[in-house]
Amino acid sequence: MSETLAVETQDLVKHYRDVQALRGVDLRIESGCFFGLLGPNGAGKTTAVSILCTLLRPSSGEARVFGNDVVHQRAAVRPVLGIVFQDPSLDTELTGRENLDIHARLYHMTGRKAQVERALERMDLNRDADRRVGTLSGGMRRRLEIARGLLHNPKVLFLDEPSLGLDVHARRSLWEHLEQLRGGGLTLVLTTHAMDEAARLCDRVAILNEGRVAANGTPRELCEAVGGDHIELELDRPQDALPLLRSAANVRDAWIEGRAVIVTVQHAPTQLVSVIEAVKHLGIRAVRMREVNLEDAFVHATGHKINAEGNLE
Amino acid sequence: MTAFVSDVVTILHRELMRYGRDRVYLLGQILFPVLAVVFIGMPAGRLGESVDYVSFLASGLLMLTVTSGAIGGGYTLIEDVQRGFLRPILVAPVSRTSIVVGKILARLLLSFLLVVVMGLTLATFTSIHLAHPVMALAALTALTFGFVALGIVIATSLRRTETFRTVAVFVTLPLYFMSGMFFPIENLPEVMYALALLNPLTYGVDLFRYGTTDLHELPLWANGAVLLAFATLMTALAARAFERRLAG
Repeated sequence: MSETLAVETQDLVKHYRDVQALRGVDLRIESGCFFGLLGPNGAGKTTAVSILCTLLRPSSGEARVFGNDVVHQRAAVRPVLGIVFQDPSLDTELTGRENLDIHARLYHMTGRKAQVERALERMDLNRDADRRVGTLSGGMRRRLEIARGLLHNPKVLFLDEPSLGLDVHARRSLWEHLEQLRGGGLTLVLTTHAMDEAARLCDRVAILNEGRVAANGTPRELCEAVGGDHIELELDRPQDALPLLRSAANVRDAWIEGRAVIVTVQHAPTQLVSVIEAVKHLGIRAVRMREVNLEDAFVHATGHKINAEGNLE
Repeated sequence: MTAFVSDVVTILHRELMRYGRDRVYLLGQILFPVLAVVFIGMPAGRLGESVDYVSFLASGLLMLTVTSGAIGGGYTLIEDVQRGFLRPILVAPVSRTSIVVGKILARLLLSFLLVVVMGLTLATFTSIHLAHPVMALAALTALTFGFVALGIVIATSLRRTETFRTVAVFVTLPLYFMSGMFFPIENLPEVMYALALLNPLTYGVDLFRYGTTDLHELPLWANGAVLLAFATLMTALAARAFERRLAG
């Protein structure tokens, strides 16, 4: 196995008494990558993260973090990873600064005070660092957990559903803060069921469904696999337009739906003009464009839709 | 080894910060035995003059505070697991043992401080005094270890930890009543006397009473032996229960 990979798993299987959580997961996450594990609730995301963080033993298969086995070389794995759990794990009786200080001590860090200060600053929490955690807002707590996860300068940070339970504003703020970590060499592995979150933050995404990786690639690649963006043209005589569109450059496919012709292209924003050019003499009444997104990619890969709560429809 | 000590100190530090935040709890812990001695011990002392009942009760109630507090201290470990606070610690390069040891030592330190404050208060109107400091400290230490461990064992065995307080009362009340805390065990009916001898708390209370009033009912060697066995066994059981809880 290569030493340069941040995370590598081979045929990772985990079953609880009667539940198959993971049914053979292969992942390769390169160092410095922002990687998304996208999937509905119960797909095995948290199980995978727990195994990678040495909290859970796999039933079979192998998992390595920066070349070290998560079962047999735990002591080498633990110092290089940071984690933000899905459920809150701060000590609500203590202040933010005290929470971070305890963490710094447990990692035997030198120059604790300065490092805690820096971590608080990075997440814009200095002003509220001496408030009891119990009095902080959900968004602040999540940022505090991230500050703690990053405190000991891990090489890889795991975020399990980081924006779960946050309002729109807090979510956006969280993303901006995470965005700022890019380029510093940190590898980020986040699990999410939110397509927009994966699209916004991740360089690469693995779609996890029923304990298996259903698809894997950059968000763009996953979208392209669906077949391309859709352009919908409303015309007086759609049947006349169909052959013209089918023979036009860049058009992958075209068909009629009611009074409209649906055209698929690789990338609608740049190819819209040429499509319109091909049929504009026939009189176009309306044009609608829909770019393929991760949601389509997910449906394409799994045959299911995920709703806002993260459950399969 | 230095890492282990440093981790224990960190956990200890965190526990003490938490206890320090809960002033009402600390005040309650100190007030209860003092008030109990005033309102139960003083009137009861007037019933007969043969024994110094007020001092007898005072030393017993100090151990009541220590043991009931220790059981609650054990519970907080499982509470930490439930509230998720322990998870980041489990991912950190920290041994599980240091977590448990830190917890117990924090409780021990707190018990010690409480006993000192309560003891000094009680000493102003009873005749308890530091007759044998080493014996008193040994009893305090053994009972703290044993009862923190008991708290852990009870908490881990419950499906719903919310029921802990209720279950703990059912487990501890018989232990308290048949321990010589409130009255000498030789006054107990025969069956209860036999049960009291099976109760490890009896030996702790007796040893502590020897340490603080110079009186004891049982041989000192028996006190020492039973307490050592009790503390060791309970700690081992608790460590196993905790490991299992983490695995499950």
